[in-house]
This record gives sequence, structure tokens and C-alpha cells, in this order.
Amino acid sequence: MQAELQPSNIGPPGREHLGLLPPPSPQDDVANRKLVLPPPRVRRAVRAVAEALFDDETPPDPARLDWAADDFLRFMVTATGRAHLILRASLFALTWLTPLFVFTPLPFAWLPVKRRVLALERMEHSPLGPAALAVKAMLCMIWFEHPDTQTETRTVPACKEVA
Amino acid sequence: MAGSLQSASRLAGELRLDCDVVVVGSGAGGAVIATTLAEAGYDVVVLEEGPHVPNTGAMRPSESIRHTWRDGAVTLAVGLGDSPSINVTAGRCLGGSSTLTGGVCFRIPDHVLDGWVKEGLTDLTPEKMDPWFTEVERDVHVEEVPANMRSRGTELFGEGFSKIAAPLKPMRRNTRGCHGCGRCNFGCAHKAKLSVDIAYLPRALAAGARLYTGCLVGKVEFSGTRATGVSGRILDFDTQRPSRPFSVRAKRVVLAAGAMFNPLILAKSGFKNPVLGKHLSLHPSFRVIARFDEPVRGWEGAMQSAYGDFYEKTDGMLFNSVSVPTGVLAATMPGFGTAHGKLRNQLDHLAIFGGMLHDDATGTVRPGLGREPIMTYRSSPRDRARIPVLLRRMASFWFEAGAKEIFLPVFGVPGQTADSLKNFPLEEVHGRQMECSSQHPLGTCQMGVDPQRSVVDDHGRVWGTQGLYLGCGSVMPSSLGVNPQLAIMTMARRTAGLMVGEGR
Ligand SMILES: Cc1cc2nc3c(=O)[nH]c(=O)nc-3n(C[C@H](O)[C@H](O)[C@H](O)COP(=O)(O)OP(=O)(O)OC[C@H]3O[C@@H](n4cnc5c(N)ncnc54)[C@H](O)[C@@H]3O)c2cc1C
Ligand code: SF4
Repeated sequence: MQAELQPSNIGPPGREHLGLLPPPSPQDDVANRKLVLPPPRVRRAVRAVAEALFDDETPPDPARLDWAADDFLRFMVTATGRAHLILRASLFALTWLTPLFVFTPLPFAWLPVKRRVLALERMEHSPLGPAALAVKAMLCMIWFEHPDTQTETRTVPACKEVA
Repeated sequence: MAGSLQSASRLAGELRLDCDVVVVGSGAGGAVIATTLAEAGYDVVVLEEGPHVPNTGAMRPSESIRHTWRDGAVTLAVGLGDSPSINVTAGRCLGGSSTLTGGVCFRIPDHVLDGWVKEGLTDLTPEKMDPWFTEVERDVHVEEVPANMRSRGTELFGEGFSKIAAPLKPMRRNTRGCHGCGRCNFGCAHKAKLSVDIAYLPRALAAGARLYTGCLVGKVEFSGTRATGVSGRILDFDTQRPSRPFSVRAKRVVLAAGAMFNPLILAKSGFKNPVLGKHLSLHPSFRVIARFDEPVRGWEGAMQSAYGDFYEKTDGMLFNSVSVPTGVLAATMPGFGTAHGKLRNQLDHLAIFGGMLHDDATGTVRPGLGREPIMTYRSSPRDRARIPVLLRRMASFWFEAGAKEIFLPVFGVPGQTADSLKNFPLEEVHGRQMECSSQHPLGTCQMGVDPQRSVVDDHGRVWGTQGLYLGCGSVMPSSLGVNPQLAIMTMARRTAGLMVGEGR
């Protein structure tokens, strides 16, 4: 099967005629991968961490928390290699070990939000810190991609030329 | 005749191909070699493990990471002893890591080339490398970033840097028509970044190369010591797990799977060599974030627009402007809940800059369980001692520019003012507590003149074999001390040129 280059006018001088690689067909588009999402308890754990992480004077918007938790799970099952394993292991540690930092042998999601925050802060300073950080990093990244977060925090992306 | 670009996952039946040259990996090295050989009339097949994800800038950063970055960007080189563990990122898509770069292009510094010449690589003098560099720079359109494309954060760091050291220099990047939206690592909506999927692979296709995505090469096939092709598994598109086998017969094989994977493929193929997988250099990189009273909006501007090499030759330290998504900035802030919220709400007052060490190449890549490598890294005493020096220097540049506090890359540590930093025991912080990253794995199959101390000769030919070449970051004879994509493309272009010169 031959592939036709897509017309374009980019490229270095003298090669502006160079086309672009043809885009993938819809069935080969990574956005259309069929994903198998983890069980609801994993989602509960992610959402509980997000709720604590983004807790502020006013609690975070529940719809945005749902979106962030769902997108986190999509990230986890899409990323290849060890990402899935590492995030799953970190979530396991957060669910079962974090509560021990506030001397409560209950699953993390069962703790009140303020207690979760305290437990996470203590964990961050412990040798288990990286487990908290892996999940925190990914949640922050997703959270700040939400247009409402960007508006609230004055972080709407703009090109330098436009700005 | 136009070539083809196909996802192997969709092909019915077995995939068995014949060609003149099979190139494994479509990144900075592989794309350049494939293009050169296809344009010289060779029948070329390119096998890429990752998918084809057009570089349109349509994805959110986290979407781009999940689809085009290896391991969801969580790969670690485990720090041994007091060394920091290093988060090593790389691309896993058509175009490889080239598609993720900030566009920075450096030639290999003359003093590094001189060192290689002293080791016996006498054809790698600055003069002899110049034509190769010139050609690649033209092909990917290397240009200087104009000063008005600098982010405010870069301007501020530059103010501090020039007061203490020297003015920052304008970065050279492979761009054309850059709008300065600072999201080069996640796809360029303006198609301004001329990564190899834009500058080279279309040329390879036009010259008849056949490109296959979703092909995980397992090993090189040999007849005696002559390489006769490669074999591996096609990846299922949805799960990305290995499924059906494939094989490609070729007169010559080029491995360009990058410094993390070339040694694994060679080891699986039964190739033995005392330095295979050793001498991994990573250019350990550290960021220091600064908070200013004025809004900075550090993410606006060309992603990497300026650099300071004042300390490179003497101390092996390079300072590069960087820009990271606001969510990543937020993630580096200590705390959770309200404490974190306070910092989260000041993201537009934060500026970031990176510092990179010209390291002693002390890492190792070994096969692990599954298909990803195990990487370890033990900093040399010299490298380890330079980390706090680098961080203190960066902090001083920021304070000189008026920063109110700085955030060190040390887990959980709150912001430091100029005064509190004086008493902060940075020199005693254990490597385990440090946040360190690398985008530059290099040198695990070094080029050299002694088959006992290197993996390839100065043409890129694997010692003790025929018809097997390496053409990616794995062949670098030492750490470079500068961002490597231009060096990799140029060395690959040279190897391809020599392959053509050898005849069919
Ligand atoms: C986020 C980021 C930013 C960067 N920014 C810059 C920059 O601004 N300037 C700069 O100079 N450098 C930069 N770099 C580094 C630069 O991109 C790399 O050094 C360079 O692309 C490496 O080229 P390579 O050919 O060695 O490997 P790669 O470009 O990584 O290509 C290797 C390819 O081989 C494929 N592969 C691996 N194993 C197999 C297998 N078994 N079968 C089939 N295919 C396989 C991979 O999927 C990959 O596509 C950056 C890197 C990253 C990750
Ligand atoms: S900064 Fe320039 S090259 Fe980078 S994504 Fe924006 S327009 Fe493209």
C-alpha cells in the first residue's frame, strides 16, 4: 500500500515542497484505542487523593474531581511499560500505608479530607515520598489542563506572539 | 516510487519482508540513516515500536505523554549509593524522542571532539565533522531564537546570570515559524519544530522507504557473524502488548533504538562485549524554580530560548532555559491541600530554569523482566560534588534577579529565601531526596578503536560482525555536555554516508 504525502509549505528553505506524513486512519488513531479501565475501587482511591490534594479554602469542584480521576485512569491504562505498574503500586501504598501516618488503620478514602491532607504531607517527607509524588505529579498535570483551573489560576496558555 | 507507512498491528497474516537495509527505530538517528539510504537508492524498511501520532499539538500535555512518551515518562535510572535516582524520558512513537524535543541544537563542542580524537577516533575532528553538521543543520533548519521569543522567566534568569557570570546566549533550534507557545515537548500546533517526522521521514517515504509502526524488534538474526535481518513481535494496537511474530531479511541491519534499547537488542541477539550497556551518560539535570513579586507567566515564550555555557568548559555545567506545563510546576511545589493551594495560586509568579551536568558516564543498562531495561546510575564523586554547587549557583542567579524565594529540587523542602538558603544543608542532602531528570541517555554502545573497550568502530560497525551498524545516541564515545539531538543526527548522517561509500 503506497502512502501519499500531505501537501504542506513547511520545511527548510528549498524543501518547502516536502509533504507531511499521511495521518493515521481512524482505526490507527491512538485516541481511539479501546481501553480496559481498572475497577471502581481504584477510581475511588484516585479521587480521594485528588480531593485532598486540591482541597483549599473552598473544596474543589466535584465534577472536575470526577473528570480528573477518570482521566488519571485513562492515563494509567494507556501509558505503556512500567507506568501502569508504578501508578498502581503508588495507589496501593497511598490507600493502605498513608493512613498509618495519622495512626488510622482504615483505607485512605474513608478518612476525612483534612486528615488525608495531613497523612499525605507526612508521607511526602518520609522515604515513601516518591509514591505520593508519582500520583501527585500526574494529578496536578491533568488538573491544570482543565480550562476552569486555568482560568482560576490565570494560567491559560498563550503563544508569545499573541501575548 | 513512493514508499508506505503502515501500522503493522492492522496487517492480516504474518509479516515477512525482504530489503537491502532494515533500520530499527525511527528517532533522531534512525530517521536520518533511513532517509540517506533510501535517497541513495537502497530498498529500506524502518521498524518502529511506537505508534504514528502526528505532531499536531492537538493533544493536552498529559495526553501526549500517555501516547508518545515511553513508560508514561516514569522511567527511572536507579541511583546507587548517594546518587540521585534519575527520571529518564524518551519518545516511543514514529520520530522517536526527536518529536519531544524543545528543539535545542548544539554541535558537539570542539573540546569533546578533541578528546575523542585523542582516543584514536581521528576522523572526528571539528574540521572533518563540519560538513556533516552543516548538512544536517540545513535539513532541519537550525536557527537562532530571537530575543523577543524569550519568556519573562528566561529574561530574569539572564539578568542574574549576566551580573554574576556572562550574558545568556541565544539558543539555536530546529524551527521555522515558531510562535513561542512553549509546548514543544507535546507537539507543535504550528508545525514549526522540524523534528525528524517532519524534516526526514517524509523524504524517506518519498524515496520509497517502507515504514512500519507497532513492530517491537527482539533480536538481530545472524548467519555466522553476518547479520541477516531482525525478528520480533507485532504489538496489539489497543493493549500495546506483543502478539504475532514478524521477521525482516536484510543485507544490512542498522540498530537505532536509542541508548536504552540498542544494548538490550544486542544482548538478546547473543552479542557479547565487555562494555555493552556500560558508560551510560545521562547529563543529570536539575531545575530551580523562583518566585517573583511580579507576574512572570514563565510558560509564554519559545520553550528553550537561551543558554549559559560560562561554566561548561571549566566545571561541566550548562544552564538551559526550559518551560514546563503549569501542572508540572504545581507538582513540584511541596505540600497538599491548603498549603499546596497557596503555591498553586501563584504559578504565574514562578519562573524555572534548568542546569545540566556534563557527567562522567557512570550508568549501566541491563535487560530487565519484560521489555524495559533496568538502569542504574552511580554518580562519580566529581559529579556528586558538583550537584550542590550547581544548585547554589542557580539560586544565586535568581536572587540576583530579584527572586523572593527559590524552590530546590529536593523532595518536600519548602521555598528558601536568600538568607535561609545560606543555612540550608544542601551539601548533606542525600541523593535519594533529590529530584533529577534526564532526556539524554547516551553512550551504552560506545564508538572506539579498541574492540575490548568499545562496541562499534568509527564507521558505526559492530565489532566482530558484518553487516550490522548502530546509528543513534548509543554510539556516543563519551558524554557531550550539551543537548544531543544534532550530534546524534550528524553522527547518523555520517554513518549512513560511509555505508553508501562501502557500496552494496
Ligand atoms: C522530552 C525530551 C526533550 C528533549 N529535548 C531535546 C532538545 O531540545 N535538544 C536536544 O538536542 N535533545 C533533546 N532531547 C534528546 C533527544 O531527543 C534524543 O537524544 C534523541 O532524539 C535520541 O535519538 P536516538 O535516535 O538515539 O533515539 P530516539 O530518538 O529515542 O529513537 C529511538 C526509537 O527507537 C524505537 N525503539 C526502541 N526500541 C525498539 C525496538 N525494540 N523495536 C523497534 N523500535 C524500537 C523507539 O520507540 C524510538 O522511537 C530531548 C528528549 C526528550 C525525551
Ligand atoms: S515554541 Fe515554537 S516550536 Fe515550540 S511548540 Fe510553540 S511554535 Fe512550536
